Amino acid sequence: MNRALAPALLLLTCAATGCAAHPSFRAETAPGFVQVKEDASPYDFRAVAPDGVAVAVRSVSLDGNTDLAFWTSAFLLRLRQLDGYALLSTEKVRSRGGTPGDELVFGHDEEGKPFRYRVRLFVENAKLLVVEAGGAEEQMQRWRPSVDWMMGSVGGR
Amino acid sequence: MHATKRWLAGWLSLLSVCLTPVAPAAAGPVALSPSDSGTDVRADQLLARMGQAEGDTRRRLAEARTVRDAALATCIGEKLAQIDSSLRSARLKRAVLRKAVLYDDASGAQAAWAELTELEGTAQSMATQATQCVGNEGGDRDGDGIPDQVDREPADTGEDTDGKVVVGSHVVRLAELDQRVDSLKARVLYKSNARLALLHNTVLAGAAAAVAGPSPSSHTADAPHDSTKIIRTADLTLAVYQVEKGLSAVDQIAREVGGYLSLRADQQLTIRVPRERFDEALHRIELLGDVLHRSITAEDVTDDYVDLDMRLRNALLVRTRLEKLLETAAVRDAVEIEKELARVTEDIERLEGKLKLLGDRIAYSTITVSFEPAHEQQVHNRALLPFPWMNTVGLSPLLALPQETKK
Repeated sequence: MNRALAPALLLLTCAATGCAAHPSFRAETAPGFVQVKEDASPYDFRAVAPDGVAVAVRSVSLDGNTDLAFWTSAFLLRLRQLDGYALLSTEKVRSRGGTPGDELVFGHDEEGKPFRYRVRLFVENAKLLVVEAGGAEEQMQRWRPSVDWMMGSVGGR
Repeated sequence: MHATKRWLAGWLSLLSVCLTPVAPAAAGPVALSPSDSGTDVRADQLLARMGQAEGDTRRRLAEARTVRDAALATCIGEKLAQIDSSLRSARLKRAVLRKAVLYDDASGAQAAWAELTELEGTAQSMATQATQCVGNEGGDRDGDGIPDQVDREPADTGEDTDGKVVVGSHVVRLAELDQRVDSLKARVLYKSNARLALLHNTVLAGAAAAVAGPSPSSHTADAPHDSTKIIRTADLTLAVYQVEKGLSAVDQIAREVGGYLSLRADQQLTIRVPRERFDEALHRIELLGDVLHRSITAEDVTDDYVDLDMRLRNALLVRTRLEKLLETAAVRDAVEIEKELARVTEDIERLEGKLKLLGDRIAYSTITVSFEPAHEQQVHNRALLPFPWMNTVGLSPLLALPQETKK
């Protein structure tokens, strides 16, 4: 009885709290955000605020390439040199499960307006967890506590 | 009886010698008079002519020394030495002649007179050769110790109807070459001095800057004349973030350091800042954002600047000379001078323009700030990672939400 009810109970709990049902990681949706259901998407999880601020997670199989420094440098080069993003700050962070990771904060103008883009990178269970958040500078500032909470809720199972 | 015959024979032979013409044509036939006083007078005249020849030659030697013509002086000096030697011998022979006449030694007197005339001939010949020395050596008018016409060929020389030395084509060419060498010497000297002055100013300027640091009021309009002739240029590529704010800030920095805005586009801006505050401006701009690319160049244009400056000075000198010539020129010449004057003036204006432009580029450094990602060429040159999913990182895919279709 209990074994049969367990999956249903988990789904119910997740539906109530807004957690993402993904086999390799867990993420939660803060109040004011809604999770976007999408079939063909580069993201495994994405939640958006009404004014366009988005938080997304993707889990990438690494096939042995588990060097976090490599991925951090790859993101830096890609975003700065190729896309012209301004690196505003870097920070050492931890995932929900305590795995150490890096956070990169970028600034970039979109159609003449300043936007903020945050990326957290973790290597867990031979997978790279990429946690992204972005939006207009003003909205990102307004939603900062929620975004921080959502990004901090991401971790491996 | 025998004594009387010998005396008579001696005087007759002496008379026959003295009645024959002597070497100097100007003196005419000289006859030795039986009277002592006549012989003395003629001997004195002979010595006087030799003295005159010696005096003329000595004067020529002094002239040669005045113009510092070593070769000419040597030539005349050699002739003068022989004239002096002949003159000394002639004075001795005159004494011998006087003694012979006094003692009625006709043969001795005859021999002495013969030697006297021979000595005079030698002296006059040397004097003539000394005169030819003047004709063969041109002298050193420019005072460099080298005869002006040392390699003149005999075919190029001669005398005109006035007895003046005719200058050949080689001499003209030599004079032109001399003038060119002088010009090149002056040019090299000017460049050397200019470079030394610049080096001096650079060292001093560097030391002063190290002690005092950058000063807001240190730049001046004529700065290019006080330091090295270096054009400094910087290209900065900043991340595309807060572009408008960044462009305005760069413009503000340019004004604050005494520069100005040269060009402004959507994502690019070029400013000119005083050379002395180039580093300060660059540092402040780099603090505005994330610098993705930086390129700084320093082009040394000292040679170009010195060349232009010298050409301008020369052109100004030529114009001054032409203007002076124009004041005294005939109408026909004046037209030609006017044409040349117009051409030189045009050259001067062109050179002044170039010099001003170069001076401006030296005095004001150029900083170009671009807010843009790397150029396509740079991207292609960079190795891309074999992880296609990384092409979807960034704001655009994150914020692009799927559009729901109504079922």
